[in-house]
Amino acid sequence: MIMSANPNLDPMTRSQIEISAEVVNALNLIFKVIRHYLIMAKKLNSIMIMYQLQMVAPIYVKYAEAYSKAQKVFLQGIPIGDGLGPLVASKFLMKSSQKFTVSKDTIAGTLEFEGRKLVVVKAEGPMATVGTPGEGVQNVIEREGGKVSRIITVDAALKLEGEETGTIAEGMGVAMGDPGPEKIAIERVAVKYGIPIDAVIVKMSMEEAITEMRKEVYQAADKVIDYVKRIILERTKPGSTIVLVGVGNTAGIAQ
Amino acid sequence: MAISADSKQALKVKTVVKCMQCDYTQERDFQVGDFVLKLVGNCPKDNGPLYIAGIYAETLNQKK
Repeated sequence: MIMSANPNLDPMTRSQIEISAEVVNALNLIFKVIRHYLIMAKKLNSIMIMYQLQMVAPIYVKYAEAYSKAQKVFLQGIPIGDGLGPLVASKFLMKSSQKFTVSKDTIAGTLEFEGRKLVVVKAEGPMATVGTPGEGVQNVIEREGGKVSRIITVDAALKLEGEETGTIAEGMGVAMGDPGPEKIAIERVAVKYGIPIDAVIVKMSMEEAITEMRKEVYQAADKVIDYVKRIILERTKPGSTIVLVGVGNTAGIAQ
Repeated sequence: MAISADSKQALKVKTVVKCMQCDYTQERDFQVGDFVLKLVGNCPKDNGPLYIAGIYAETLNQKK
């Protein structure tokens, strides 16, 4: 739709308009939810519904403020907290001489690490996009003939209040907030070839995830790199192939 | 209405510039057009290529 309105748009501007539209949509949704409960309370003449609305209103205010700030950040091209995954991937890709497009808005690069072949996948920056990492990983693994010994995913994750921003946690499975087609695409290809999946996450609040990347998150990127290197050395053998996926919005982060 | 304290924090966005060949590091204010891994000139120490290693935001006023 954006391209039909202006076919000469460069990809960077296109991605910024796309993300602005997403932010406006999120703000509109908050407005509609609040309005829904307000009208419902009036229609049913229910003070209890009004009480419920008053109780959750501060949370919605916080979300609305965060989205409002996020739009300005995206338009300036500043990396956001959710860009942690692409930042880690870009630090690996710096050493890669061979980079190629694997799916829409998604790029991969290969490099050698301690006798192993490392294929790093991330969204194509510095555009404000999350790319299509699911399809990208699927294509990379099919290209390798399924001979991949491990998939490591890195992403930002929402913290609970009281938890410290920038703390790292590890788990199994795909680190991806979106339960949509991208996550299942990685899981399907992993099941098809019996590839174990590791997840490394860095914790932050929702506001920190969609606004300017905080110093704690930026500093956590180097720790995540060491963490990923340790996982590779401990859990894979020399000569094997590992796929590393930096999940998240790559606004302001190239490769 | 309770407005979150987090949202009221003033943030300063910084750009970290590093040399690809030596340990030279410089921090400056973010400028529109900066992005991570952008090449931004030559190193004053060894003339190696300088690149943007990171962009992050720092809190100016401390949380109470």
